[in-house]
Amino acid sequence: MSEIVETQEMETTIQGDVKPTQSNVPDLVKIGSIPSNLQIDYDTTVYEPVTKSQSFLRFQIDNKGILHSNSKLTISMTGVTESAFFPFGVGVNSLIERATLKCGGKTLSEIDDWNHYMAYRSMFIAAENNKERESITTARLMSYQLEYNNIKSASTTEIPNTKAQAIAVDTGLYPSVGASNTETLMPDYLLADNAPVFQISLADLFPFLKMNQIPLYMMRDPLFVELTLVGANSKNRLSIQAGETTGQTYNVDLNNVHMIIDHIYYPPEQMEAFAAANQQITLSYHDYNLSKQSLVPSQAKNNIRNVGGAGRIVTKVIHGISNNANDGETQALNNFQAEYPNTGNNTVELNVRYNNSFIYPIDVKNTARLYNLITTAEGMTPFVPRDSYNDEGNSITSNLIYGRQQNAQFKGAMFYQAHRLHKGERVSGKGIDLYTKYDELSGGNYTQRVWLEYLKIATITNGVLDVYNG
Amino acid sequence: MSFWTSEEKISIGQTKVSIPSENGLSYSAGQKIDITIPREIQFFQPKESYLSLDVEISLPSARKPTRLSLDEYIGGQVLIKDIRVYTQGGTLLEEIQGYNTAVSVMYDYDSNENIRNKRAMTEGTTSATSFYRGTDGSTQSDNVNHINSPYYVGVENSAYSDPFDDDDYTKAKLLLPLHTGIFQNDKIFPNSMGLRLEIVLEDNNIVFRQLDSVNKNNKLSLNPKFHSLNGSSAPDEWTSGSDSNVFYVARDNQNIGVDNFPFVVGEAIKFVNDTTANLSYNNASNMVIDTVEVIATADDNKGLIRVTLDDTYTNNGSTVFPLGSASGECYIYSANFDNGSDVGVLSYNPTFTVSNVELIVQKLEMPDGYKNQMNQMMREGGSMVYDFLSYSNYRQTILASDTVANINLPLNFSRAKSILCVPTDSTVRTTAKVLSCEDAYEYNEESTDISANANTRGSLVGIWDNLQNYQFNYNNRLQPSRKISCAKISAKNSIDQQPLVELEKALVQAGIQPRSFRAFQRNAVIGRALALQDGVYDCRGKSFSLQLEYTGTPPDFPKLFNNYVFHLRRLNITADGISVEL
Amino acid sequence: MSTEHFEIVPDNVQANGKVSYDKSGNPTIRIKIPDVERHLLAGTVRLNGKFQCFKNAAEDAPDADTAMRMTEAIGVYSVIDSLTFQNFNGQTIEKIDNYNKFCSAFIPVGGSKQDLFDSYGTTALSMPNFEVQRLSVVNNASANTFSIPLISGLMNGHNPIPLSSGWGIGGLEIIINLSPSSNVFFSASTTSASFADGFYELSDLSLTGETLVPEPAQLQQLQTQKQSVIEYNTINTFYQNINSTNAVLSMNLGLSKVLSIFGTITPTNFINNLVENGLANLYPLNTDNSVAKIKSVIWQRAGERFPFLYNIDTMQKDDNAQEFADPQIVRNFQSAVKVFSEMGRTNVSPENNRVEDNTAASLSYKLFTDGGSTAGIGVSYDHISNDGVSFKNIPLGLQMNLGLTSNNPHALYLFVHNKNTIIIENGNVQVIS
Repeated sequence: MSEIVETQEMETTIQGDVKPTQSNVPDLVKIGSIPSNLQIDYDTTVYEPVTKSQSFLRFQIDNKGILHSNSKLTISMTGVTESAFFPFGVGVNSLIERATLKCGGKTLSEIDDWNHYMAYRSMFIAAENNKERESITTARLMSYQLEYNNIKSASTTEIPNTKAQAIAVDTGLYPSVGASNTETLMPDYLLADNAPVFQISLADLFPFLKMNQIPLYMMRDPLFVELTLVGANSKNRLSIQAGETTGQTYNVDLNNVHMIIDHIYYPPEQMEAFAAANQQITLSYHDYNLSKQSLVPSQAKNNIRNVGGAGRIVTKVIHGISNNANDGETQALNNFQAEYPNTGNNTVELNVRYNNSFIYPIDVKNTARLYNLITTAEGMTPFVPRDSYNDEGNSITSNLIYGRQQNAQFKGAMFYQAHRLHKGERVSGKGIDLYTKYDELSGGNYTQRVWLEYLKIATITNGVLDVYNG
Repeated sequence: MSFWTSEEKISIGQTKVSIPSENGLSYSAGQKIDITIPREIQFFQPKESYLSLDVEISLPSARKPTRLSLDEYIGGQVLIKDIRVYTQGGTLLEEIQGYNTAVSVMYDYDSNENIRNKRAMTEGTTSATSFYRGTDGSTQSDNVNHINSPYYVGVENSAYSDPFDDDDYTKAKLLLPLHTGIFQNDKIFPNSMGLRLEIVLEDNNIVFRQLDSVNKNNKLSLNPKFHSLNGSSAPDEWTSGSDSNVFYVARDNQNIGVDNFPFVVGEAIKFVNDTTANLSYNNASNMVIDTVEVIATADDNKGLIRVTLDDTYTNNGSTVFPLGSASGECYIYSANFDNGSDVGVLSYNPTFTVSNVELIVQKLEMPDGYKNQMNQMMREGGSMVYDFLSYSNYRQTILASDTVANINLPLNFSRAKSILCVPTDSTVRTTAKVLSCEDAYEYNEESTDISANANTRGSLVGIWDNLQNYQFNYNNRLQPSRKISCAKISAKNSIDQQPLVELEKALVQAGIQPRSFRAFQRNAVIGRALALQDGVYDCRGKSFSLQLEYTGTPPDFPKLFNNYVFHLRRLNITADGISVEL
Repeated sequence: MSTEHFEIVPDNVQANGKVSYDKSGNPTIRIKIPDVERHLLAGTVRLNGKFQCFKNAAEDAPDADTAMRMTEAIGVYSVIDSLTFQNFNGQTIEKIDNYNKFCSAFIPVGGSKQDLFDSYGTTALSMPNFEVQRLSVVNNASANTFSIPLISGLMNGHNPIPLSSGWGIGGLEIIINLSPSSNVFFSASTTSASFADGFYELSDLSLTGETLVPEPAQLQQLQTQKQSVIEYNTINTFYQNINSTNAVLSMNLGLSKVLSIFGTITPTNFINNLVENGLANLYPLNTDNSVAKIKSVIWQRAGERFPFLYNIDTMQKDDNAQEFADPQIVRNFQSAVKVFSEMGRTNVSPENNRVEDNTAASLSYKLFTDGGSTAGIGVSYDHISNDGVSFKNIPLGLQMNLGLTSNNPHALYLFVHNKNTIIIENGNVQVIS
């Protein structure tokens, strides 16, 4: 008696009979066994840092099993007495300035100004997910709601049921309407003085892990995760309510920082067979190279800058300009912003040139188009309202969030751009030139950050890791 | 399949058929519904099939009315206590006890605004509305929409004195997807042996909910607020010992019109001070609403809602202070379960009736060649396997006095994926207690909500109850390597992350997308993924236990642990019959 | 393989680059993508420009007292009356009539409320509240920038489109017929006096996108290929009139692979009316503005019930007091756009799908929040095999039992989602539907 494990997939021929085929049967018609008889074991190991201070953490991961890429770092603050919270856009990611993944002295992945990079990455989280999930896991809270006129002095006919007047950040609490203004707060469990613990995914720290899993058991040298933290009194760890004392020191709870790592084990014979059959493993991935420049508004009006990338296979250019003002903690987004010109002509023009040609035949001025170009570059849409992106519409409320007007906090504050390099070629020795015209940023000092996403190759040969550019 | 992209696939006819229940026209609490999907429906798509039923709520006689709905987060799913799926020949394919508790986990953690709206439109859950919104910074509520509800009609914005009664309740049609392994499977189901469903309905004391905006013990700052007795711009108090038959309601929390006001004519009310928690009431009997109207000239022509009571009452409790008073503002709450000064003494037993029960089945017509080929294979002695992700509930109770507990589970699955342990409050509660949340578990202490928020869902959801840490022990290994701390979550004003990290993995393995963790305080779930990615874990012959420590503040409630083990189950279908492999 | 960006301006706009249905008398935008030896990456195509509203011929911007509104859920898509794709030989490849009406049904069902804030809000000028959209877009004294994909089968079907006149379609011309301002704007109140001569204007228009440059070897191969086929799903619009309690409709769709149908209803006197919103999707109304509740719906094929082998009787059939939208109607409407069990993004909610009288005592449709009314009917025929059901020479039937007791004709727009195949040969295109 033959046992048929899986139903044959069928197609109807022109003659009307039916024969098997592999490709034209809808997936849900393929009745049969779910392809999952594979016994997987895993254990969850909680690691303490081997080196820890308020500026640096190092974890050493045991060489066992296969590293699950969605393993997590958990971290919290301690001793906070002010009314303070993690910046809305990046959440707990504000703490980390640089994230490095190393093995045997070789750097697999390293992103500078990682917290600023995460401000860009966080745009791609749907607003619903921010409110429902990210607010509790990573303290990111960029979601929006309609705001209505509810001031106490208004009459029953003036207070509308459905006619909103603006949009506001949605924290999960209703706004608190006072006699003359309205303020939005966040739930108590998110406030830093209650020392909530948040998580950061290893795959977020090292995008390399989004596409690869590291076979730790095959590595000769241990894996190190090194995190450089922003200064405890840098004003960039937390944001504070208006009226709180600025310049305070905010400490990470070093007794409560852990890496929760899942080590995956397949059946031993399978793992041994895999190791034997793969004396050399090649992993390709993308890493990010940062190029920074200080700018003043007059320079930003017409800036051409070489941002590097020579000799590399660069797939994407990501950039934004943020204010260096030494008052990050007085802003809901802290310094993790990319600003849109909010004075002068309120215009932007930009282009990217490499290998002797511009990407765009005409400089791009349409800011909605720039928003779409991010979608093209990333393959997913950023979830940023118009007012926050290109400062148009004046729709963000002037009511307060932790004592400060929301429109001042969020208008034109998330103006990142991304460009997909379209030729599929290696960048020539001349590198990539970024042409930007910001007409005009308001006064102050700025930093233009440009990340180049480029191809890297890692090989594991007889347990020894080697890394080189693609 | 995208709306715009085209793929070349074999043609499959799709129709929807309606199969009525067999054993009655209407059903009430505790009764069983039987539905048979006959063999003649050879193939159907389980995930696009659903249960359609009408439900009508009836108020208890000799009690004051209020606006009731089914569970705010799972709607009509709360009506289903247990569900069994058999073949027509009687082979049990799936049995799920505590179905509604499992669905509460699914719906609380696989949730966002879009999905909640979808459920509100079709499954009878409640929703947020701009017609009733907080102005005092309270936690947002999804249970405030009395304006557009499938369970009862709304009122218009004009003077309202018609008592709210059963005539105001309407039959709500609900379309419920069935969250069993078979009915949530993406693959089509070969129905050669027919299917029979047995659905056992839940008891009355579990299913009903009041609005958050009338509840004293949950999001109090969302309730309507007392303005004054005089309705003037110099509001006065209702002094203790004095009489009145009218009072005015502040415009806070969108109480600007009769249709916005969440109480109904005939409902009993009391007042509670937000600073002292003192109550204001009449000793002899409840204060009952007789008329609700807007007085446009009140408060210097800004307008206020005026409530006229059915009698003149003496305030035998504390003074009801006016709006803006430094002695505390006073909120109005539903006192249907109180008798004068006595809190929670009245029984309150609404009932539900389910009717017009049908299973809407997405029937598929496979090409003849396909069917012939399958039949031929079966005739030749072959078998067809059908795998689906199902779950079984292992229950265990612990006492309130157990500060350390070890829950042993005799798991026997060859392809387990994850386990979700839901420690529900096993205290036996009347409907009145569930509705009022008196003495219920308090799940968080949000300062803007004034008082701690109490569990509105009775024994349906998990409670942390001061759990300090837990750890699994299976296959003679502790997992994770250290105890998982929940102390901050149990403190009700902070977050522990590791329980959520573990829960996320467990939910993913259980086929539940972890889109939301906002329920982490109000629906405690302890999760552990037994395998990762596409793998499975063989539990057979291995020990499995969950170790719990309530070693901080002692717990308050006895608990029933519903331990849902998600696993791959296999049906072996041959010409002779069907067998189930775990 | 490499790509190249392009930017093309319309070839029929005036020297000042401005386009306006009413003011410049130019109701059409034509853009030609040349017949080059490349594939068009349709998913990258965007129509870019600026959109500005004026309340009078003197080009004054609307202010707080101007009761000028537009359909908030679809923003600048309101201005597109029809969208046509044809090759340089004039052969029509795809045409969507009543395009703005289609968007008013499709976008809220398939996109979420948060999408109306962010992705649609930033690119298409939408908002999930009528007043916020009025203040931030209509009343904006500066022009609003937009950059919209032309939602259609050809552009969203993920197929690279061969442009060559040798081995491709022979160039692509996009024709956008604009909608008159009277069908874009409507009054927030009961009179349009404050903007009787109001109009909209588009400027700085361009079409951008990317083309795929074939390698020489691949180009050689393409140049020798005789024929190619592109399949995609598209929308065909049908219009019917309803004006009775028992609406019985029969239509010859002439389409062989119909996947789903969804329909929206608007009183005919709302169309091209500056006071009312001609793009609103409502439950039927009587002349006294009481809602004409849907009591039952029957979909038929060749005279037999199909695919629902039972009548859809709504809650309102047995209980006229019931004001909550019938879940079967809502579910079937949403299913016509996306498989209901998989739907994770939708803006249909109890806030905007309400069986209400259109009166001040209830809630006027103009005051629905969360993007405006999302009423509609629908049916899905095939969401598994993408093969569809044939209505070629087989009539589609629709019977609706309504509470329409007065003489108030309604427009029923039916959007038929069907599969198209285009056969491309030597710069000629044949469409099979």
